[in-house]
Amino acid sequence: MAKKILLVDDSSTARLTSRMIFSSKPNYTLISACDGREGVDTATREKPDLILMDVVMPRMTGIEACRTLKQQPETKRIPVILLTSRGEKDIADEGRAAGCTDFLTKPVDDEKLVALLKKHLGE
Amino acid sequence: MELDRNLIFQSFVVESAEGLAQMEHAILELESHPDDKELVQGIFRVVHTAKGNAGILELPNLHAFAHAFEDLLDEIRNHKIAVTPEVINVLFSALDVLREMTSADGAARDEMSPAAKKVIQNCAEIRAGGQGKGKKAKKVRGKESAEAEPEQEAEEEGAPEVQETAGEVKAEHHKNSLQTLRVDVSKLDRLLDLTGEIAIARGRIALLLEHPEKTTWDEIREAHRLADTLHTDLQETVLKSRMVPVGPLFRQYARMVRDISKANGKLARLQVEGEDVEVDTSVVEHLKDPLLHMIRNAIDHGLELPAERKRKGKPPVGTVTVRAAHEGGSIILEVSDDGEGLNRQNIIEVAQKSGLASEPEKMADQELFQLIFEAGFSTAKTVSDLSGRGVGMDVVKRNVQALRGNTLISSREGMGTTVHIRLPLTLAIIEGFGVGVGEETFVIPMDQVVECVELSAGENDQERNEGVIQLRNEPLPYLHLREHFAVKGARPARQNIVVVQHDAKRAGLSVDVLYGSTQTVIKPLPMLFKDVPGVSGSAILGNGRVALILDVGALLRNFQAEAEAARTE
Repeated sequence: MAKKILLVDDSSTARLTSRMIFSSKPNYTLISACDGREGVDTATREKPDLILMDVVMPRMTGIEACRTLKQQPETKRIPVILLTSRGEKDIADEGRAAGCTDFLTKPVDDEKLVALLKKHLGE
Repeated sequence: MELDRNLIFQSFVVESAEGLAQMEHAILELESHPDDKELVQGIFRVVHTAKGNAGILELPNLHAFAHAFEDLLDEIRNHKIAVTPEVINVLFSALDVLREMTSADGAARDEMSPAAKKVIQNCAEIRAGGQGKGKKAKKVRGKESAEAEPEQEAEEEGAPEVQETAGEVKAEHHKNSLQTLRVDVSKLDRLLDLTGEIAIARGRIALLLEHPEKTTWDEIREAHRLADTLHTDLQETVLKSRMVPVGPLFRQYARMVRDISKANGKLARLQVEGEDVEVDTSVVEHLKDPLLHMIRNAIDHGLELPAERKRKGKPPVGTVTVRAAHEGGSIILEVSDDGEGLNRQNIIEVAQKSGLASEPEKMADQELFQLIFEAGFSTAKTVSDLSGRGVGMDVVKRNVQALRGNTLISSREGMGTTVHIRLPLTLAIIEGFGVGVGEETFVIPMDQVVECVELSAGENDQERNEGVIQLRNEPLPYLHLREHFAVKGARPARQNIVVVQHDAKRAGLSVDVLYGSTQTVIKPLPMLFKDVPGVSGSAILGNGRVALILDVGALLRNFQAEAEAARTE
């Protein structure tokens, strides 16, 4: 069965790009949310297999969303990969403290993405 | 895996424009609330998104610019740098650069312009503590002493020049911007439902017509009535989905108000009312220029310098209010200022000198004030960069008339001026009044029809093309449409007069038959007929023939000019 991936990003262009990337990967179904709070709500409701989380977002940042997800029993086991920009070194420590599983640098590289998905989905 | 770069690029241009509009609003807010960190956060997010998208689209210069700007914003949000007027100026300059770099053309070029380099340098200087040098910052802070201001502004790093660039960028951006519209999904769902229902209704009619022997007229009529209702519903839903709130349009001018008033040594703020009022998206496009001219005029001619305002007991900061409201089937737009108001004597003098009116001193205020909408009218003592060249308000009038609207001005000396604009809600469909002359049908926009009266055979002088009747003891001039449009055939003895009104003028149009009101879908006239006076468009009638839609304003002007020419002969 296809694995469900939740992408949380406030940029419509970034979401469009990810939809294009995932459209050629039948093993994954992509769903998306526009900010941290919507991301937490969607994750709680949809129980995705993995979450790709942007950091800088309105209403709730990716770090805060990650922290919340890791505190909720129903979502704490879902791997969260933080999507960071180049040069955001401080984010790594904050992200780890919030309980994030891994990091991926934006713009997302297809091969690195696939490798991360395989690693964390145990494929 | 293939990425459709073109699609991503389009999405990026649209997303950036939306984000930068929010950013502009946030900077304006930040100027009056420098401690509001949430505003800085919002600005940061827009820049961060632009940077991220620059990464996706491989635009290294945009990426580098956004990154340098982000560094400054990061220190502002972390309280390392205070929001001073100098910082605000840099934020605005950076906004202008980002607008250029994220426009379709700008992003395609991805160049680091001199303006962009300058912003990066300014960001670095501020971060290095350059703002502490203070000469410039102090100068800007000294704004309250108004008299000295114009010189200060002139010295400052080319504030008007920046404004000019912003204007150009805006115009270019507008030209290249993708025409997109956000539509509520529920509206699209309703459209889909309706097309489905119409398909069923069509099928029903086809079935009835295929078996005439089993069908009664009543059944056909009933099936048609149902299809007709659905079609009207479809038409209304399509029009509704084209409606957009005027708020974002109005807010675009907040920045302009700031820049123009500063460049003129004035203090002004923009107040927006009725942001949720919705108009057709094409009306919004056509309102951009008229609003620009009206707001410029309000600041340049209306608002006084801060010191003068204080002397008059007014707050030093003038207010320009842009207001929208619905009234009947129209939308009302108003631009008001709380400035010095129109000076009757000045207008009379200019009207005399320019020959715009023969006896302006005898005109009522309302009529006299309308003269400022005429081409070439300007009371400004000096020609400024902004207005005073006598162009502007005539553009307003022309554009508004092109939208089948009208303009009105009211003013109280010392209290301010308001320009009122009345516009139809949509440009695509009008409520029309059909009239017949010989075999031709003409449509008169319903909102310009006052009433209809009969012209008896006795009053109908076959020798003349126009005349005057007494309507409730008031003389009403009228003209025969048959002669005006040279429609073939003799005029029947009994005629009907449709009383029409445009601005404050009334006249009658004499026609053979009245067909009554009808929803008319407007088709533009072919180029060949563009200059035919008195006609604004065409419509296709139920019988397949073409009807001309009358331009009542032009007809009345033409009529008046002919009458005046006849009088002088």
